[in-house]
Amino acid sequence: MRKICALLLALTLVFGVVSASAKVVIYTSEAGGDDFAAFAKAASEATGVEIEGLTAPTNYSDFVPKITAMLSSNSDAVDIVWIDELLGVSFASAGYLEPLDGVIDDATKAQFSPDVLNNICSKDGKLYMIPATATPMFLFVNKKLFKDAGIAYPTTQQEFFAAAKALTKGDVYGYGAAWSLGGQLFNDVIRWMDAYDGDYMDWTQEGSRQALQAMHDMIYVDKITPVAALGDIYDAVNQKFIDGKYAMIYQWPYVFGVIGADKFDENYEVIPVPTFKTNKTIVSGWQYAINASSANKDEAKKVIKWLASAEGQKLHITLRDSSAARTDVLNSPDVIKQYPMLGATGTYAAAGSLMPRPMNDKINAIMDATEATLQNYLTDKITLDECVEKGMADMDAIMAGK
Amino acid sequence: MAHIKKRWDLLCWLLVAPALGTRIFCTLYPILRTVYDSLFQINKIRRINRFNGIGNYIQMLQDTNLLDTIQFTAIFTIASIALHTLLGVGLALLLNAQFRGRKVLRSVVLIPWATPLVVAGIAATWAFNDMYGFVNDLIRRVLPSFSCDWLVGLATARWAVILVDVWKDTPFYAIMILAGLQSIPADLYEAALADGSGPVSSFFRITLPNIAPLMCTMTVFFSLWRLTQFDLVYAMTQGGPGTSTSLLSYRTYIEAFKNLNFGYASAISVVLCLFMVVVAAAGFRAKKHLDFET
Repeated sequence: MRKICALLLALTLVFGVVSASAKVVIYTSEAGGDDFAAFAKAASEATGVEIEGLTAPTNYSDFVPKITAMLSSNSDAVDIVWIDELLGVSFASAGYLEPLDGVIDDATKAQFSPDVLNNICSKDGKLYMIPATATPMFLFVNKKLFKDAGIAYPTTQQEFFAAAKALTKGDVYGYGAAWSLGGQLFNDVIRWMDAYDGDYMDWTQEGSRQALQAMHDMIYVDKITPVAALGDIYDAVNQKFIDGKYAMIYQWPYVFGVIGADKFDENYEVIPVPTFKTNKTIVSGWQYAINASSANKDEAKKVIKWLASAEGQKLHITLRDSSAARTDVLNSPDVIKQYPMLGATGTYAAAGSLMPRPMNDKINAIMDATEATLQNYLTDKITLDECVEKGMADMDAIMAGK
Repeated sequence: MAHIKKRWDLLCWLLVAPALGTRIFCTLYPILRTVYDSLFQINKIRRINRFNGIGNYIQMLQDTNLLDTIQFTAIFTIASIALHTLLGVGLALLLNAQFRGRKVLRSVVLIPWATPLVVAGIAATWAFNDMYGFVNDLIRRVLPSFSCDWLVGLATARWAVILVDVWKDTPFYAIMILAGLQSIPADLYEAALADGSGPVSSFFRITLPNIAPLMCTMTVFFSLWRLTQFDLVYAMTQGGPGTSTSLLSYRTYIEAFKNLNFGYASAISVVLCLFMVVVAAAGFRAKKHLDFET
């Protein structure tokens, strides 16, 4: 009996060790989707490594503290993490990510944007992340509202505000937004500052001030955006857009999946960014990186290499109509035919509209401190001058390490 | 005989020691470590770990966002406790009355208390939405032109947070008070009735003095729970608009787990702990006074 138990124990240990060493856990919100199983299977077949997905929260406000706590506590529960540039820059600085030098070759690197690889994915000359998506904030319009009003899509600042005013009637607003805390307001302010050729890191600039003033006036002067925007998260904006309450919204491409491909073309469209001082909109990228505390780094590097390949990036698009970051994949006619949003990304890129968000290792603290000040201004609690003064004071203190 | 008792006592201590040790480690160590960390500037993102003395506490006095947070924490606690007391005692009196279906009602009223606060908070985000929320929908059945973006205005957002908190925990407060009401001897009311005392007079002269010590104890615990409230703000408003609904626990969480600013977060925790000690001390002193009087 004792020998049988010892044999069983030994077999369990051997099996466990073999299993543990050949399995990689990917922490991603995509793991909750129906397509992840097929994606993981393809990745396993290509790399010889068993892949398991651990579902991360889809709500960004929930995701940030969860993954931060996980990585900062040196947890080895996950091997590969799916993070955006805000988190990636911070985590690389904090030493939570494993360097990826030697994992991908120069030919593969050449398929990614040098700006993204050098400024977002690398720190102190070392590569820490592999770009997986390039997702701009598109300008979505409700085709029916424009058609019924007989208004052409705007191409300039004047046309934008004229159209928004003409389309604002009753409980329908010309422009909808999510200006609540937790990243939504942060993204939109950067976007508007880019449009006015401002700089989020310098609110004293004329362009930055004009952008803030414009956002304030949209609510209180032009009345093309409801006050409710200050309390709405992305889910609420999406619902209002679907319900025909907003004629135009700047939103991430995932709303295409929310609406559904079959319904999208009927009522909605992505139009080029109207030219204000610039025709810029923000582009966000999500990356894959290896947890520095991972117990399966060699296996994880095999998976990362595959994720950076054309095959990996094409399969990655199947996850909730996601995106890709390799230029050969983004420009592939077959891919664009199947995923129209990628075509829109290409169009925006060709028009020079894509602008990455400002990134540094203190960006999360800056976002936290400045969003509150921005909301105080947009709820008319403080003036523009007070907003600029407080915002800059907070940013200067954070950058100085206080 | 004495040495047998001594051995027996030693055995008891040995058996309790693991649990006691675990408890001390899980309670005392975090407290001492937090106080220690509050004297350091610790930031994991910037990889800083240096002695700062009372620098973090001085920074707190200069942090206007944190001062707003302290202000709302006080408002939230006082308002919530006041409403809990008024509505909780009222509900307890109702549940103590004799009527058909009383037992069912006593179970049904506990449903809000059984709902996880995070779930309640997320649901409240939609409930208070001007376009989709049932709160405004109900009000519009009486006032058709009513419109209010609850979570946008400073005052309305604060009231929304307070109301959800009161909705959630008043039933539990009421059930505790109900237990106290049922321990009051019925002959006191009979004697008061015989002396010509009415229901209002009976309430103030019999009911209230008898449940006052229980109410005082409940107020202390509920105040401490309000001071450490986190889930509701996390799920419902993220402290907004601006910092108008930010509570100390939420701010501690953001500093620690989003900004990885552990030193500053520890200092906020220490200050919160001091507030709790003051509230608890005042509460138990008041209870002692009430126990003496009754």
